[in-house]
Formats: sequence, structure tokens, C-alpha cells
Amino acid sequence: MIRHPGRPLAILVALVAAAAIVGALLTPPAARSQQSGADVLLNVMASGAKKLNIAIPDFTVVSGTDSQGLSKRSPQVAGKDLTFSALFSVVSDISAPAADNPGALKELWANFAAAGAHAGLHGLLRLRGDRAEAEMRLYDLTSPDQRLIAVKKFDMPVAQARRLAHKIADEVVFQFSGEQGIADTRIAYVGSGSGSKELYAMDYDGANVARLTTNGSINLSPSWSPDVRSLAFTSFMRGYPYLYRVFPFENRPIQLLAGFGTLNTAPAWSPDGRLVAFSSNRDGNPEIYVLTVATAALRRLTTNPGIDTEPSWSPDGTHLAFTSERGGVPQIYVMDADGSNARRLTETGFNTQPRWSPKGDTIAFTSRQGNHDIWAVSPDGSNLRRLTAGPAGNESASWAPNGRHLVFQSSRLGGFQLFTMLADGSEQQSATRGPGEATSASWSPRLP
Amino acid sequence: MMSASVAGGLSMGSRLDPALRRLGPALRQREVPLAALGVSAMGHALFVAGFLGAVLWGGWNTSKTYVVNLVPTVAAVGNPNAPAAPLPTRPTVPLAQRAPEPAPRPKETAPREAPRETPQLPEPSLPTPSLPSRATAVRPGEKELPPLGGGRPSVRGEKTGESRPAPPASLGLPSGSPSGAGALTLDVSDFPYAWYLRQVLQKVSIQWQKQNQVKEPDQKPIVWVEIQRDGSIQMPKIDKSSGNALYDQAALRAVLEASPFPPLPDDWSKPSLRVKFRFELRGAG
Repeated sequence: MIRHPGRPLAILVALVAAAAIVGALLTPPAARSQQSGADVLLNVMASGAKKLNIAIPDFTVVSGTDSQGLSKRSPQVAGKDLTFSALFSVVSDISAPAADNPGALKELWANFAAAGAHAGLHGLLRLRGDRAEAEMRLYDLTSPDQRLIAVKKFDMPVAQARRLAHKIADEVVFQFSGEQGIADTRIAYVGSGSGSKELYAMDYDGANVARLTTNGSINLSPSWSPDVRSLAFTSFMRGYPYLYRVFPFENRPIQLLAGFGTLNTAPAWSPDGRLVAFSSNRDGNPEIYVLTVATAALRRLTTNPGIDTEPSWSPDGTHLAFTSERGGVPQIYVMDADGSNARRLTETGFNTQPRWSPKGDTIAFTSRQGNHDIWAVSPDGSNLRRLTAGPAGNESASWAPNGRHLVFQSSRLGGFQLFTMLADGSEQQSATRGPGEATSASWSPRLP
Repeated sequence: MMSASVAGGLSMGSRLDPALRRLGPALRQREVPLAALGVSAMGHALFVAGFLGAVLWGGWNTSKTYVVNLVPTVAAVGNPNAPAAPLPTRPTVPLAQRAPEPAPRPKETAPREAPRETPQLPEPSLPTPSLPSRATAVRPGEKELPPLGGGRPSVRGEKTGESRPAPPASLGLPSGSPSGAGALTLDVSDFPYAWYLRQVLQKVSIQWQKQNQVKEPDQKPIVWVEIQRDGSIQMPKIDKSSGNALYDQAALRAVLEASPFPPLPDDWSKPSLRVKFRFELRGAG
């Protein structure tokens, strides 16, 4: 052995050589061609949307005392959110599986799987003092072992426990669609219930209505800032319509944004939250301006004898849709963010209130042909389509942050109330029921 | 390579069988050419390391393709015998007969859970200084789950030992009919997440429904796309043309507009999922 110091090395070399030969033989010629490889092949046939059946038993309280009944309320709220998404068919109001019986949940899922459920959502609640923590567990009931798809924890003050359920619902939507849900959002609007037109905000599902202004004047056209901290709006509280900013979640006074000439209306935040586009008669007739909020710098975008108003930013901030009378009657136009390259999108009728979808591919607007109705068109002018067809008037659409839902005002029940629908006009349902009228809705971005 | 093999064989032989030592003095005394062997060994080691690296790190494309036909949707991933109808409002769940088992609940610690502070909005009426910064906002791209290498979730306590869950066995015969006709065919041993494929296929099918196609060409276009961990995609590509450019474009558009897709399952070990979609009109309603 001592006389053969090369032996271990030689053995190693032999093994390495053998491995190299085997490897070389196994290597296919196109081993690195990325594109042609695939992990799965799916056959696609045209079909419409099918809802996913999801079972949501009551949540299980793991620790603390559930004095608010969250174990029942949370799944109900989340279930309504999922139903609203139009992606799910929900079964809830099922007794919670006991916390100390792990077999119970499996058995529950097995029963629901047999009944046709595709997914199961369960929550574990931990309550301590004024905090509530919910741990959501999402199961694939179509797999034999009821595979766990996702686990996520959310924590909130008990006073905002509904948001726990909204967050859970949004996570479920995300896990199954890849797109974020919109349950944890608010809708601002103008309400006349107090006798004057004041700003209000509510959860998207109508809960937690809060009044934002109390000036007894006329307040109009709220517009959420992208960070959801403030709303720009028009108010007559100082006589002329000026633009103001209100901070609904902070103890800050209302701020004057723009008080030029005798008219400042239709504010719209740029997607980066730095600019507010609006319409003012500062230089004579109403034109569109852009205000840099931090510096109060003002830039004029339009110059023509007709009225230009109601700007709406494209989600990438490079374009604005707006209403202009330059052709005689109000029509929808699109221009670059610096005011150049204005082009007309709509040809016939009387068209106002353009609202660019957060997805970027659609501009919703209001068209008057007899009644007012909501229509939609692609930013290049193609794919013009009608979203509402009565009854009565339907106006002033505002997109949910997912670009799938819209809120709008309709007089179908008498006075104007808010309604929601999917972007194709389906699933119309009522969102407010008074007192007083509700108009001029603005759907917030997702809450932070 | 030759010299290495010969030398190796000799050395091994002499160790294994003492009789070989009597081969003869000339052979026995032969010097092992250490320098040449060293160079050779380094060269081979480099080659093998590179090869293994390419396989392990880059994901060796073995061009293994699984055919997944999920038609109709419900039957495809559910229990094939389960009714496709919507859930009954209150399925008969024998809740009462569950005996209270004193067995303690499995440990609540689930490694894959992402404990996340969710910032709250202050109460509207309360004087609160400011909203939490947007930096703590939960989305997008949040999926803040532990890295994949870090062990399997132990959420289902009794399953913790498994390195990878068994593929869903009851979902159909592995011998799929690529035409998509007839009963469910599903063999996804490499990607055992039927719910995921169902959601992807659903989104693309809805978009495909929206494309206006007058006539189906003889050839079916195949579109290739790579789904990233967060569910996003790059531009899909035509893998096999139908011979009809308009039809191909419609297929591309359907995939593009169906995105983003759900985030990839956490325990799928590859950095992405490569999918081929074969488009046909059959089934259009």
C-alpha cells in the first residue's frame, strides 16, 4: 500500500472518467433549449367563466374570548366578499370544527369534497385584548389529501375585525386568480341625506359609513389619492367651486388645493400621487391643468375655445382621457400627459365622464342617448360597447382597483343610489339604499 | 482517458486480488504517471462539475411533457364522480357524530405561514398622527413565504415526514387522450397541483372564448409560456403554428390577457412552470 501512493487518486480518476462518459451519453443535443420544453400541456377550449365552489365553515377560536362573535361573522363577511368577486360559489354557516380535534376538519372537507366543493377556507382566531389575529388556511379539496394551498396571518384591532375577513377574502382571490381582490377597499360618494351634499365613505360592501365633510355647502366629485390617505374634491364652501383635500383617517384640517378663477372641478390624482389633474377657468374658459401637489406648480394641458374637463389618468400616467366640447358636443378624447396628441375616441352621441380602467385596456364613460348609460371603449377607440341599458339613468362610473368591477349611480329605484357591476355590465347590484341620494362615487385603491 | 482507465484498473485489481501482483515485475513496477493523471483528473472533474451544475442549477430540460386534459372543468380536477352542480346550500355534514377526541391539536407552528403585520387605518374619528407608511403595504409581489429549500410545511401534522406529497392518484388514468375527448385524463406526477392547472386553464379558456374565431384551422396552434413564481408571465410564444396567423395571434392574445396567473404552489421546486397550451375551438358554446 505504501508503495502505491497513486492508488486512491487513480480510483477517483477512474470514477470521474466513468461519470463523465455516462453524462456525455445522457446529454441530449438540445438540453439547453428553453423554449421548447414544457412541464405541462393544456388543451384549451373556449368556455365561459365557471365559479369555484368554496366551503367556509365558521372560524375556530384558538385562544381568547370571542365576545364579538367573530368566529361566525368573519366567514360570513369573507363569504360575501367571495360571492361578490363573481369567481366563487360560497357555502358558509357551517359549525366550526373544534380546535382540539384535527380529524374533524379533515372529515368536514371530505364531506364537502364529496358534495362538489373545490376549495375549503378555514380560519383560526386568536383574540387578546383589543387585537384579533386570524390565520387563514386554504385547502384544495380536489386533491385526495386535501392539500393545503396557502396559510397566511392577519392582525387587526378588534374594532376593525371586518377588515380581517376582507383581507382573507382578498388573499383567497389572489391564490386562485393571481389577481388581488378588492374587498379591503372603500367607496367615497356624495350623499344628500343630511340635507346638503356632503362627502361620505363606506366599505365597498356598504358597511362602516363615515361622513367626511360637514360644511353644509355643496361638495362634489371626490377622488381618492393613490395612497388612500386623502381625497381631492370640489366644494362650494367658500362660494366658488374650489378644489380641496380631506384626510379621512387623520385629524387634519381640510386643505385648499386649487382656487383659480371661479371654477375648479373634476380632480383626478395621477397614479404616482404627485399630481392632480383638474379643470379650471383660470385663463378664460375651462381647460385642463395639472397641479404638482407638493410645490403647487401648475401646468396647462389644453388650449382651445371649447370646454375641456373631467380628466382621467391612464394607469401608467402617460396619457389622460378627458371630455371636450371642441367638436361641438361633449366627446371623449385622449391626449399625452403633456397635453399633446389629443385625439377623439367617441363619434356619436353626447359623451362625458371618462374613467380609465386600472388595467389600462378600457375607458368607461357616460353616454346620453335618451337616458344616460355607461359605455366602454378601448383607448385606441376600438371595441365600443354598452355596459348598462337602463332602467332609468346610469352615470358616473368609477373602477375598482382590480379593473373588474365598477361602481356607478343609477336612478332605477327613484333617486340616485350607487350600484356595482362587473366590467362587462353583468352582476349589477345595489350598493347604497339612502337615506337621501348617493352620487359621484369614487372607489378607493386597496387599503394599506 | 485511456491511461486513466488502465491505471485505475490495475490499481484496483492489485488491491482486490493479490494474485495479480504476480503478473510480473515489469508490470508491477510500472510507475504511475502522476502528472498526467493529475491533469486528466482536473479536466474531468471540471467537466463533470460543469455538467452537474448545468443539470441541477439550470433545470435540465428533459423535454418530458405531460398531457393534461381538464375537460369539463369540474370533473377534471374534482372527484370524477362528484356532481358538477353547484353546492347544495347545506350539505349533510355529520357534525354531531364527531366524538370529541382529547388528542391535542398538532403544533400550530406552520413554517410556510407568513406572519405579517397588517397595517391598519386609524379609526376615522380618532386623532391619529398619520397612516402607516405605504412601504408596509402587503402587495404586490408579497408572497413572503420561506424559501423553498427550507423544509416542508408541517401543517398537516401527520404528513410531515414526506418529502413530496404523492401525486393525486384518483384523478384519472395516466394514459391521456390528447384530444381532450372523453373522460378525464391527468398525469401530473411532476406537477401534482390539479387545482392550479384548473385555474390557469379556466382563465385562458375564458379569454379564448372572447376571441372571435370564424373557422378552426386544421392544425392546432400551440403557445408556449413560462409562468414565474409570482404568477406573472413574459410574452408567450408560438411553439407550433396553426398556419393561420390570425388564429395564432388570437391564441397568443388569450394567454396574454389571461395573465397574471395564480402564484405557483410553494412546494413546486422549480423557479417557473413551463406550459404549452393547445388551442381548439371545439366546445365553444
